[in-house]
Parts: sequence; structure tokens; C-alpha cells
Amino acid sequence: MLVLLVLVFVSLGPTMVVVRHVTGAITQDPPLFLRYAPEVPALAGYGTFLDWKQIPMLFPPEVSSFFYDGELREGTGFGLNGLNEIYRVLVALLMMLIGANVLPQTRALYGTLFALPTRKGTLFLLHAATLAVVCILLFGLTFILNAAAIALTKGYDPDIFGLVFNIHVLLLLYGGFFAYLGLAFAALFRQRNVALLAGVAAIVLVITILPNVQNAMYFTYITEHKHEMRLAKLQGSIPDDPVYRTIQALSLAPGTAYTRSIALMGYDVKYPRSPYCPDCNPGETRWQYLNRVRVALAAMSFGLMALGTAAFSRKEASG
Amino acid sequence: MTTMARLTGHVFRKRLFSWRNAAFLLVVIGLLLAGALDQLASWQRLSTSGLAAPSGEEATFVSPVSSLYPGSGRLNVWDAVTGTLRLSGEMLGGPLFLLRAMTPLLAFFLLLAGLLCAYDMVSRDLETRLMDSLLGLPVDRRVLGLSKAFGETLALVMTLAAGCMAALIAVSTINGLGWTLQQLARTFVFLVILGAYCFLFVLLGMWISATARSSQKALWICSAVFVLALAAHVITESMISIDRANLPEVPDLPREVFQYFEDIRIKGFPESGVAPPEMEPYFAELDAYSTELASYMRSRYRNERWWSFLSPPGLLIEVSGVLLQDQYYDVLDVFYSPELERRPASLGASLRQSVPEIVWLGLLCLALMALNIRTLIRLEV
Repeated sequence: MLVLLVLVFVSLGPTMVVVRHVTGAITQDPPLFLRYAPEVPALAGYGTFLDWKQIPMLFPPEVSSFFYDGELREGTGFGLNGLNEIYRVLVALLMMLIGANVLPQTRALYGTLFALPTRKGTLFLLHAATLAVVCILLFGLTFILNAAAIALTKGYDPDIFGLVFNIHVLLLLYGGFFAYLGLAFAALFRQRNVALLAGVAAIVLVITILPNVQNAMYFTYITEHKHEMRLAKLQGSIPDDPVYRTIQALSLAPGTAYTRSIALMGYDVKYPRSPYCPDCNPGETRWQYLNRVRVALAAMSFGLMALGTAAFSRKEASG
Repeated sequence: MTTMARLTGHVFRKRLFSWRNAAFLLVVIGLLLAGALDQLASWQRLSTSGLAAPSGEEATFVSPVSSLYPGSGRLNVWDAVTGTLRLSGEMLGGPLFLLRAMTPLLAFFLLLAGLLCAYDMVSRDLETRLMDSLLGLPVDRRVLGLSKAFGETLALVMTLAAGCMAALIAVSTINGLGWTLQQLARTFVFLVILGAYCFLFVLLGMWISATARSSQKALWICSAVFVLALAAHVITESMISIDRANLPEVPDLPREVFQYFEDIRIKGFPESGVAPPEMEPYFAELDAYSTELASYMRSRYRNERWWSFLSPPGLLIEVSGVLLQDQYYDVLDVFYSPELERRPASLGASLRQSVPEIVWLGLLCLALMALNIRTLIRLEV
């Protein structure tokens, strides 16, 4: 069953790329339409129509399968026809399932394992290393298949391939976090089903609730602290406020960091000279921010690994 | 019938006060509260941003322009109506908008929740040998099985409804957002449909549980069903996405019209609010473009809606698109056309428009009930 899930996962990207290509879907400069809005005078409507006509797609058309549109959807905002939004949910679930199934599942196997002359912590780290290899192989395969589908349908472009590679590196780190979450939960809980259900609840929290909480906190903060924000911007610093620091820390939570980073990467290829980066610290470039996200994801995975090691060291062969 | 009602009541009470249900309630409230607060923040931000009323006009502004995006015509209609509510200066739609914006996520979350609630419904009893005793009772096994499914679904739906209402009331209270009677009625009808949607997946989970006979195996199959449902929905959406080549061309902008609007941008709208006669040919072209686009979207939407019958989440999103709005008599009216006759929105009209989807959902539930009965009758202990 796990093999079937993996097969569906790796074939999703190439299928989307090919289907999009065959159906000739809109990939750039979306056409506009007038909405029925009787309270707006026709003249104003046409005026706005002209303004909006100049808005192009935010991302390169070659990767339209990844980026749905210019709008950043995160948390509970969920689109259904862009790969990055589908990966946001699917990678988290699949990797958590894989992570939770790396450890032995029967008492007999635990008995054999604990009879070995190796420390429990070392045994756990060996499982964690196996999981890292599985993650690298899975996302390597996903990258190869997605890149091949793009090359076949759109041709070779080094910038686009660099972008696709970076997306998959981020996916690897994002997926790794959830794989280690599954592994740690499998070590923490006695019953596998409880570990899986706890994993699902944690995924809901990390990829939907936390990003929305961060967003709502951020917009409330900038509305209520306009003056401080302007002053800090002039001074090239960030507001010296614990609430603001919490908001910044929350922006590095996997769900938020993944969506924003992936959108910034696409934007960077299309508008390399634009300094646009809403989550960057003063003086920080887009790529410095992306590196910060990568380090944060790796650090959180290590944290989960440490938690798992501690829980596994106390585990008994009886479960 | 009495036995079934009693058994359903027993399962319902047992499930309602279980730890699993408490966790589900917390997740639902957290999910909806976080989503609703976020939508509210974006709603307020957009209504006070550059999309403000044109100079000299009252500040009741609904951005009248939108873009088509990669995706099906159906998805574009859903997005256009959601955009109308989101960009409204006066928070049109009220709590309906908050629930609507959450539906794509809820469609998949409830699919998973329904399956996870039912994946061990039969297999656990088989594994613990409780099924031996249960089947020894003087109760028809069909009644036994269906009571479990009904009780489980009722508990799930009550929890979901309580979570939804708690989150929406909390957000409405925080923000002073009022409810109209129509909005309340639409929310209630949608919650009933959500109940049927949950029932569908509880029945599916129960059937998987009875067929797999092992909780671990059933959990894996349920995970695979979830992933396949997500993949099938996404790929179908891509397959029916709008082909740019079939869309009418946006009319070219004459230089003098561009200049006229540039002047308006700098000096503000003319007192009369009427465009000079030389603008008329361009406006006529725009009207013709809008009419052609609206007619294309109408025919596309009508053909495409049958695709949603292949995917239950698509079905729920489609129903939410029609029910969770109180601005349009027919959601396709969102595409402006000068020939369009504007009619006030009504719950009856929205329900009539959703009849095929609701009937199909009911038929799917009946089919799964029949399948479960067949499996339970043949279940060997």
C-alpha cells in the first residue's frame, strides 16, 4: 500500500505537467472579465478594467503546473490546481506515514532488536539515517520525473531547472520534517494507530492553523503599530517587541515557510531584480531568507530526531 | 426501528463523549477559527487598501474586475464569486464568506476525518472478538451495522456543527459581524449537506474496515483512498482547465480612451459620471467582449458540472459555491453581461441549482449503505 502511495505521489507532478500542456491551459497574462457589480458606475468599472489589464502572472509560465496564480495561498487558503499547494498537504501526510512505519511494528521484532549489543539510541539513529536516505531517494526521483516532464513539454531552460531543483530541495527539507515527526511519534506512542492520528492532528496544526495564526497576528500588528513599523523600517531594524519576534518566529514554521519560500523562488526567476520579500529582515536578500528557512527546517527535524531518540531509549520490547 | 434508534442513540452518546471526538472538536474549532480570523484580516485589509472607492463615490465598492486563472470554468466561477465577497468594502456574505473560503480544505479534511472515524469500526470488534458476542445478540446484523454508522456520523456531524458555529459566532462577535436570516438558513442547509458528506465517508470507512478485517490494513487503505481522491480531483481539474485559445480576445485599448482614463486617475471622476460620446464605441466593444465571455463560461460551466460527480470533494465545493453566497440568483451572473437580468438571490433558487449534486450525494450514500449491508450479511466471524 505504501508503494502505491509513493507511486501516486511521484506520478502526480509529471501527470499535471503533461495534462496542462495537452489541454493548453492558461499559463500567462490571464484574460480579464467584468463582474456584475451594479453599485459601481460603469465608468469606474471600465477604468478599473484598464488598470488591471497590465497585471501579468507572477510566475514563469514554464512552471504553471507548480504555481496556480499570483496569489499566495497558505494555511486554510487552499487551491486545488497548483502542485505546490497539493504537495503542501500530500508531502506532509505521506512523509509522516513513511516516518511512522520505519520502526519495527511487532513485539517479536523489538525483542530481536533490543537483544543486539547496540545501544537503543544508536539503533534509533540508524533508523533515522535510513529515513534520511529514503527521503533523498524519493525527492530525487520526484525531481527527475518532474524535470523530465517539463523538459519534454516546455524544453530546457537552465533558470527553470534551477528553480525546479530548488523547489525539490525545499520539498526534501519540508518532507523530512514530517518524516521525523512520524518517526518521533512512533517512538513516543505505544500504539501505531495513535501515533498516526496524533501525526494527522500535528499536520493540521502545522500546515493550516499556525500559518493562519501568524498571518492574522501579522496583519493585526502592522495595522495597530503603523508608527513603530515605519520607524523601524527607516532605521533598518525590526521592532523591538516580543510580539513581533513571536510573529517572526512563527513565519519559520514549516507550513508558512514552505509556501512563502516556494512562491519567492518562482518570483525570483521572473523578477530577479525586484527586491520584493515581505518576510526578509532589513538588509536581507531573498536567498538569505530562503537559506534561513532551510536551516530552520533542518534544525526542527534534528529537534524531532532528538525527541525520538530520547523516547526510543526508554522503550521496552513489550511495546 | 425502535432497536435501531436505541442502538444509534447508544453509539451516538458513546462517540460524542469520547476522547477522539474531543480531539476532533478541538481540531475543527482551531481550523475554522484560524481560517476565519485570517480571512477576516485579509477582508479588512483589502477593503481599506488601494481598491477603495473612486474619488467622489460612496465607499461601497465591489471590485468589478477579475482574472481567469488556470483551471476549470467551474473553479473560475467559484473563485470569481469568492473574490466578489472578499473584495467587497462592506463585507458582503458575512459569515457565509468565512465558511465558503474554508470549503476546499474542509472537503478533504472531512473526507479524511470520516474515514479515520470508521476505519476500525468493524475490524476492531473482529480483532477483540467482541463481534462474536455482538452477532450473538437477537438483533439483525444489518441493524447493528447501520446503527453504528448512523451513531458515528451523528456524533461527527454534531461535533462539526458545534465547532463551525462556535468558530463563526466567536469571529462574528469579535468583529461585530451580523447574520441575516438568509445567511443563517444557508449555513444550516450547508451543515446538513456536510453531514451527508461525512456519512458517505463513514460508510466507506466502515466498508473498508469490514472488508480488510484488520485495523492496520484498513488504515492504510483509507490513507490510499484519501491520496487517490486528492490526486484524482487535482488531475481532473487540470484536464478540464480552460483553453486560452477558446477565449475571446480582450479588445484593444484606443489611445484616446487610455488618455481619458489617465486624466480621470489624476483629476478624479467627472461630475456627471457619464463618459463622453467618443468613448462609446470602445465601451460597446467591451460589452460585446463581456457578453461573449459570459456566454462561453455559461456553456462551459453547464458541461463541466457533471465532472464534479466523479469526485465527492468536487461535489461539496460545487454546492458550497452555490449555497454559501447571498449575492447572486445564479452564480453564473457573476460574469457581467449587459443583457443580464439581475434578480435577487434566494435560498430556493440556490437549492434548485444544487439539486443534481445533492441528489447524487444521496444516491452515493444509499449505494454505500447497500454495499455495507451486503458485506455485513456475509461477514464471517
